[in-house]
Amino acid sequence: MTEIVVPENLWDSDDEGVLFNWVYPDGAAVEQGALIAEITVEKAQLELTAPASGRLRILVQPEAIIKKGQVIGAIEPV
Amino acid sequence: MTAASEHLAREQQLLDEYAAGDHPRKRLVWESERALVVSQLDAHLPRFMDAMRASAAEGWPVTLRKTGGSAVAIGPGVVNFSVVDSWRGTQPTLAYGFDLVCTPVIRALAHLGVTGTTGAAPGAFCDGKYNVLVDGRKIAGTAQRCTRRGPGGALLAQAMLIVDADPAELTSAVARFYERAGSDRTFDARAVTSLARCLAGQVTGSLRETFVNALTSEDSVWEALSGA
Repeated sequence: MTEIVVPENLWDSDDEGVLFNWVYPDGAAVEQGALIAEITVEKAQLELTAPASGRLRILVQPEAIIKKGQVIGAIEPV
Repeated sequence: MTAASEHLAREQQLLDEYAAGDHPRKRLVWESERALVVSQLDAHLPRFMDAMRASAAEGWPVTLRKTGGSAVAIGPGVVNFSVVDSWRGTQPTLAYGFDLVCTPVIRALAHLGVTGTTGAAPGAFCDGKYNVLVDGRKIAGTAQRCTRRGPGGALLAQAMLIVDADPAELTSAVARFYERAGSDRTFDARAVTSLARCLAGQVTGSLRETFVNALTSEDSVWEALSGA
C-alpha cells in the first residue's frame, strides 16, 4: 500500500490548506500520475497526483483542513 | 461583450496546453458581462444551488472557476488580467505565481500616479494577502491554479482590477450570494476601492483603455520576472 501524503513542497508557506475535492470516489482504480485531489491554499488551487497505480482509499473527507506532510489517503495494489 | 465563462474556459484550455509542454508566457486581458465568479469550494455551501439561481435572476449569473479564493463580482468596469506560464522541475512558489499578476498591476497603477501595494483588506470580498491595495483598500484581487503533469506543469494566475465599477455594488452582489448560500461571511464595501475613485476625475477619456495601455506597455516587467 502506498500512502498519499500532502507533499512538503506543494506550497511554500506554513499555511494550512483545505482539501476540497477528490476527483475519484473511494475504491476507484487510479493510474500513477493521475490527478486525484485538489487542495486550496491562500487563494491558490493546487493538484495532487496519484503516487502509484491501484485502488484509491480516501482517509480525509472533502472540506477538511490539511497540513503539509499529512497522510490523506492510500493506494492499494489491485 | 463576451460571457465570463468563455474567458475562463479559454484560460483553462491554455493552462492544459501549457502543462503539456513549454510555451512562452502568455498574458490575457479581458472584460466580460456581469458575473459572479465563484470557486469550487463555494459550490460546497449548503444552499449553493438556490443562491446561484437567485443571483442569476438578479443579473449576476454564477460561473465556477478552477482557481483558489472565494466569490468575486465582475463585469463592465472590471478588468481581468491573467498570466499562463509553463514550469519544469520544482513547482514555483505561491508568491511567484501571485507576483506574475501583482507586479504588472502595481507598475501600471504607478504609471497613472497611483501607489499600489500587496496585502490583505479585511472585509473585502475574496480577501487574501496577495490583493493589490491602494491606501489599504482592495483595488485588485488575485487567484491562481498550479497544475502538474509529469516532470513539470503550468500555472494560471488571475487578477481582477476594479476600474470604474461601483465597489459597493460588487460587494453587495457577493454578500447576497453568500447569505443565500448559507454562509455566515460578512463584508464591508469600504474595504474596496476603484481606480476611478483613486484618480477622482484626473484622467479624461476611457479609464479602462488608459489602464490597459499602462498594463500592456510594461514589457520590462516580463523580462524582469522571467528569471524568477
